[in-house]
Amino acid sequence: MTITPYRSATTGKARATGLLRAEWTKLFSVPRWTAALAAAVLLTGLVSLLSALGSGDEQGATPSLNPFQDGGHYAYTTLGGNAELITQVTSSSGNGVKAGLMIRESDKPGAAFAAVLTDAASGVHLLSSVDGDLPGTAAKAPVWLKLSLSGGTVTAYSSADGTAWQRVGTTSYKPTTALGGPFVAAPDTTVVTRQFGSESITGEVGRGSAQFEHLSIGGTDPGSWTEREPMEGPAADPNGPSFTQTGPGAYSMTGLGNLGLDPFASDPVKEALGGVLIAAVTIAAIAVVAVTAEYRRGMIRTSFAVTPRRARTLLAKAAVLGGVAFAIGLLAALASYGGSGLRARGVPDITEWPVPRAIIGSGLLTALVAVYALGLGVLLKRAATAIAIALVTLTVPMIVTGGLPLSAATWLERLTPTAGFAIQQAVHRYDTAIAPWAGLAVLAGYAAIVFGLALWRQSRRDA
Amino acid sequence: MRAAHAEWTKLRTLSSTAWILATTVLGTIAVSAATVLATDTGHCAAACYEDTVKLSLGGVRAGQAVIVVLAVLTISGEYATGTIGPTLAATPRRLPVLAAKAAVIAATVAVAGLLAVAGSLLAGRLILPGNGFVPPSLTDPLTLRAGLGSVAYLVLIALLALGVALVLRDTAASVTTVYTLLFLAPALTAVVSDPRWHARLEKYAPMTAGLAVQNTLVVPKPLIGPWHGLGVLAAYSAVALVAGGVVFARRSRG
Repeated sequence: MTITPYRSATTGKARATGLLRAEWTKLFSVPRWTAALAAAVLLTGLVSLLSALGSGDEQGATPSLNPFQDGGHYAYTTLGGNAELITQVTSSSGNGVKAGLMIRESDKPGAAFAAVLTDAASGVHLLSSVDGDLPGTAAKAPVWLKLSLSGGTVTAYSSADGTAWQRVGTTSYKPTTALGGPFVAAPDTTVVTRQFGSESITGEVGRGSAQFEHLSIGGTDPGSWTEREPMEGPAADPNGPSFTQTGPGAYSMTGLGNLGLDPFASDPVKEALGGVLIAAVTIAAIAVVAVTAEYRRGMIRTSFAVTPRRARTLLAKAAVLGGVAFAIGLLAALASYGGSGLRARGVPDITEWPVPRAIIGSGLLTALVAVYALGLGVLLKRAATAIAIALVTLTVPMIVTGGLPLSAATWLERLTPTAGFAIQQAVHRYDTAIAPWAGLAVLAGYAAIVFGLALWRQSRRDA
Repeated sequence: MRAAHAEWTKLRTLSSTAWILATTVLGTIAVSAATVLATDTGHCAAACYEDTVKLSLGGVRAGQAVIVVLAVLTISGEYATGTIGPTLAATPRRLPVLAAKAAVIAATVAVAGLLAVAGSLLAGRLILPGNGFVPPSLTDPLTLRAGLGSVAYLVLIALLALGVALVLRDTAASVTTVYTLLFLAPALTAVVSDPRWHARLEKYAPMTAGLAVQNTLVVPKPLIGPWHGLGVLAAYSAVALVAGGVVFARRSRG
């Protein structure tokens, strides 16, 4: 009698879908876990809703994703329509001083504007209240600058000699009125002060001055310029803002305060998504017990008996948990953003970049948290230890940094898995520890290392 | 008394207990020392007004995370392994079992907490002068209040975790719930800019309110007094213990 050895008739593809289905079934056959996932999403929305309804916000403009400081000094004439402004910034003095040309809606603080400037620290930029900061070449004074307004578009150029122009960028300019002229601004110097057990960062108004030559609008110097009203303080301050003619088409200007993105403004998107932490914490716990429960009940031996290649089982588990976590994180982010939308001041429109990045990023963040926690669960086999490590490393800055110097707190936010939450940032602040994608990459690194170790350990030990 | 002795035996003979307690004490001291090491007078304005006691006790915030695991495991571990059966067979009345568990955990955490707090204050005393601070006197009444208050804080956290574990009976669910309760408020204060919500979270969340007992400065005026803050945490622990007790008394053993 011949015995035909058994050969599985299923294809590799069928095995993969079968594995995924098995993991999916195991995950959703525990009613408590499903309930916890649903509760996490609801709770996230509820926390945002409560803080939105309870906050004492004044009615007002929706918080901007490009919050500007509208300081500095400028002089202007009213532009009739399309116009071309040219000047040569011959020299500038002051810490990080910015000098250039600006077109703005009115002389009111916070009016819409577009400006081309040379920054003593970083070269040529196009700044606009619509598009924020667009960097150009690294040219510093002396440099020629040109700003041209034409049919609702402002284009900025820079040049070394005033004849060969290089385009810096273009931005839209919607207002129907336009004032144009030179400006000088200097960023606030930040001062770190430690007192009463915590650190605070404050800005001290910066001062800068610059020399302009060959200043012209449409080819000629209009001669009569109106100066911006002094923002604050006595107008007679001899060191205050000034604008004086030093020759034909040549002027000297001193300005106080910054024109540029405000590093002290709050981040409306990160605030609105604060509740996603609840979803991330819940996912982390479920990802841990999804595997530690198998160890405790001996289910893992069945799982490995069905699929002797253990790596495949764990990969399927990670795929299912990661996918579910992504969906839950995305839902939680939408619930959180929707709840916060009921604030009196509202939140930035959900389609406005980088809001979609923050929301989809919240999904990626929870998915990575799930894989990281799953890896810890496999490595440690014990729910209590794995959950404690996953949650403590995820919330570490929240529990240990109070009172720490900002520099130390910043490093914790860079180096621990918490860095992943950076993906929710929409505004670059003075205390921004790490860029959005870089932060997510740090968390991804932790997830990859821990899950990689888990795969390696699992293939070398008893189930 | 026999119930308490039994609980002590169960706690003592678990290999995890020694590990967890060692981690609590060493972890607390290590985080405290790191906090003090990272802080210097470099950025101080005219005067620092640094609360050196509070700074030296920074590690308590990390130590509490380990204490939660210990307290939860004394309950959920019994349900997971089935030891709860013999426990209730030996002492059929539920309340004495609960009282014995709470007393044994509270005493154990108090001893570990005392070691952790004393070690943290000593580490602070050694490190602070090197960073330009005047170290606090260890016998000052305010230092003693902050130190013993921190021990009480850890005990109340353990009782809170015990109550939650009695209700949920599951390790993962209990640890996650207690952590969320403790860490969510500080996490939200970091991103919420509204000052009224800041004040509310500081005053009524268990962790931020309870840790007010570490304040030894009166300027700027803390949002909640040291004993009031500890009282808020005690209320959370009491509610959790009563809820846990009621569930424990009503439910058949499963």
